[in-house]
Amino acid sequence: MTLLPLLAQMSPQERSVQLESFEHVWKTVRDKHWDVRPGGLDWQKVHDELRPKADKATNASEIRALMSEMLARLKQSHFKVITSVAYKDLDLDSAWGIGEPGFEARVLGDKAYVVKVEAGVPVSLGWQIRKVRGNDLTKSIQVVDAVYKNTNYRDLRQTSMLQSKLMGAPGTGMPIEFEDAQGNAVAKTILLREPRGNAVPFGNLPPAPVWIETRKIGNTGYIRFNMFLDPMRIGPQIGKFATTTCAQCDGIVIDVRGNPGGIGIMACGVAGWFVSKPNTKLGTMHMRESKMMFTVNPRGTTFRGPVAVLIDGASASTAEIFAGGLQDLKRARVFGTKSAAAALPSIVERLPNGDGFQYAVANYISESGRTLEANGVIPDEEIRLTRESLLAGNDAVIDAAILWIRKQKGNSK
Amino acid sequence: MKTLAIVLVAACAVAEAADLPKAETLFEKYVTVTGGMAAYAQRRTEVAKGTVQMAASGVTGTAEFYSAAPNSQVIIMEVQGVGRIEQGTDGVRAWELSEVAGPRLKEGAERIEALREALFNLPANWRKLYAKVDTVAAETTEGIECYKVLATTTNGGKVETWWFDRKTGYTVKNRRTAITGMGEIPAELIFKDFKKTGTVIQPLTLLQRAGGQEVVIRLVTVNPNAAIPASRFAPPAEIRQLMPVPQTRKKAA
Repeated sequence: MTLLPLLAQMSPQERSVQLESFEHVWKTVRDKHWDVRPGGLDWQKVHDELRPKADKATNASEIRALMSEMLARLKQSHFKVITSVAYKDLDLDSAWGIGEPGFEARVLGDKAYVVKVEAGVPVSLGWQIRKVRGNDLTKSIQVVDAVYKNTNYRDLRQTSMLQSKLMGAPGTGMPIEFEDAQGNAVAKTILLREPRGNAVPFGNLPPAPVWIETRKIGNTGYIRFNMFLDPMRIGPQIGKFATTTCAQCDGIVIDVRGNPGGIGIMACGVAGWFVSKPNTKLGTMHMRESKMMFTVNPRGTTFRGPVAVLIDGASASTAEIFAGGLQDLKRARVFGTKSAAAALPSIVERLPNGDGFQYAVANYISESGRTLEANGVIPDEEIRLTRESLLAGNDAVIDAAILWIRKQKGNSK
Repeated sequence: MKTLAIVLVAACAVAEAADLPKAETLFEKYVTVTGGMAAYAQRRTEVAKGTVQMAASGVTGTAEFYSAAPNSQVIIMEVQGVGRIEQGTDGVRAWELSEVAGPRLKEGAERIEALREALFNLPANWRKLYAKVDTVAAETTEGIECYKVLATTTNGGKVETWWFDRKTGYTVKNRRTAITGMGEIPAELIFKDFKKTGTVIQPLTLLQRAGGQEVVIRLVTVNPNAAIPASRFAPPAEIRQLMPVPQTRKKAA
């Protein structure tokens, strides 16, 4: 006799809470989606098809899967159920238990490569990552590709997959097999570090580590931050760097590659350090009964030199609003690869069953009339990272941006 | 027969409208049931502190309101994950300052709107806000039987809707189009938890619905006639940077 099937059964109370969560998800989309026919669907019909399946479900996972299926039918970003387990794993205390390897990775083509390395980490740019903890990474890449290869979210999902594979308890060693420039296998045990930055809570979102990096490359400023969160810390640092440290720079590169977004309106706050013309907009958020303009409020002192913004397939949401907006205003030239096309303003609620529920409340149209969702931001100069340039120690996207800035010298706005 | 039915419906509608109290009476009743003109006249300043909550997204924070006659007001919110958001007027200028969106000097219709909203002892001054008020219906809203009033503003002739509780005379809800830095946004403000604070009765819970979101402000302490230094209403340094340089200084420079 086994008790496992019995343990998986829901109690009447749990069933009730799960079904209540199912209804809440369905009703929220019905009432708050900006389109009265969400995703072009007959939303009542979706309910009538899935609800009987939820009634017959034998465990919580089945009902959660039906909620996810319901949301997936919208084929729009920012609609998802975040399991309560994710909250437990990512709460403030344990977030600091999630260590990072000290390098960043991206999938280029069908392989994963090291694209950025922090000082003291014994790996090199351009090395291929073959195995993590003995598991062949190529297989994981193929699994993601099987679902997302022909979608806008492929790069975003591949990057998320790599990040999760390369995390673990800080202070522990993670065995990784690389392939070096000569094609030799290199086995390393990478000591996982505490995450960079500060763990920042925001509403119902799990706390996320937020960091910012500012430096000068020659006489060009370079700013990179990983999320549009923690405005009280990130905003002033950007402002101080742009208007004081780098006031005399030839230009500034703002790198939002891998930046998944955050607080939407923060795009305007950051843009305000670089746009001096009042009453300019990055775009407009369209809801069912109203719209909100993302107006840039210029700071008292702004940086007026050339600005380059770097994006890639893992630049999403607020990062796209920021990059696409500055591009439309012709205030920045955008370099890199197409963004994630996942730019719907959303909020995160807690469901009766304890899960998180993220849902978009508006469509976002950039100032030039582009729907960023599904289209993304197309760079002015498409520059792809290549293994060759990485092995040579170069970031081809940063190099192209700096080259452009140097050509603009004397053409300050 | 059909025509007769329409005439009958119209006649009933007229009869009902004639039964409705005058809107002026409803506004005056509100002033009376919340303390009376004399009680409002005794209040010259107010400091109120409380909490702010966006229940759906789990965002919480604190809110402080500093107000003084005739129309100076500073509202400071400290919101978790967002930081400080300040809105203010000194009776002439109006501004908004936050790190998340940047500093902004309100201009044009938005400035005028901000000065209207900052009018101290607002209920007692309703005639300054509205050129015309009409009771248009008796209906239930927010679960309360109300009189519905359309109020045409003195600035620009915009129409706001008010609902007054038929039993208590308190305001239940206001609906209008708010002028904000993000454009004109339909907004509703629901008034709850009426309590006496000093000489007048006022709602201690304000629920705002706008942009598909609900924001609840709960006042925990209200101190009428608290001492507020004039500097409290001065525009912050980040806002002063945005102000036009006076001509005399320009010439000197």
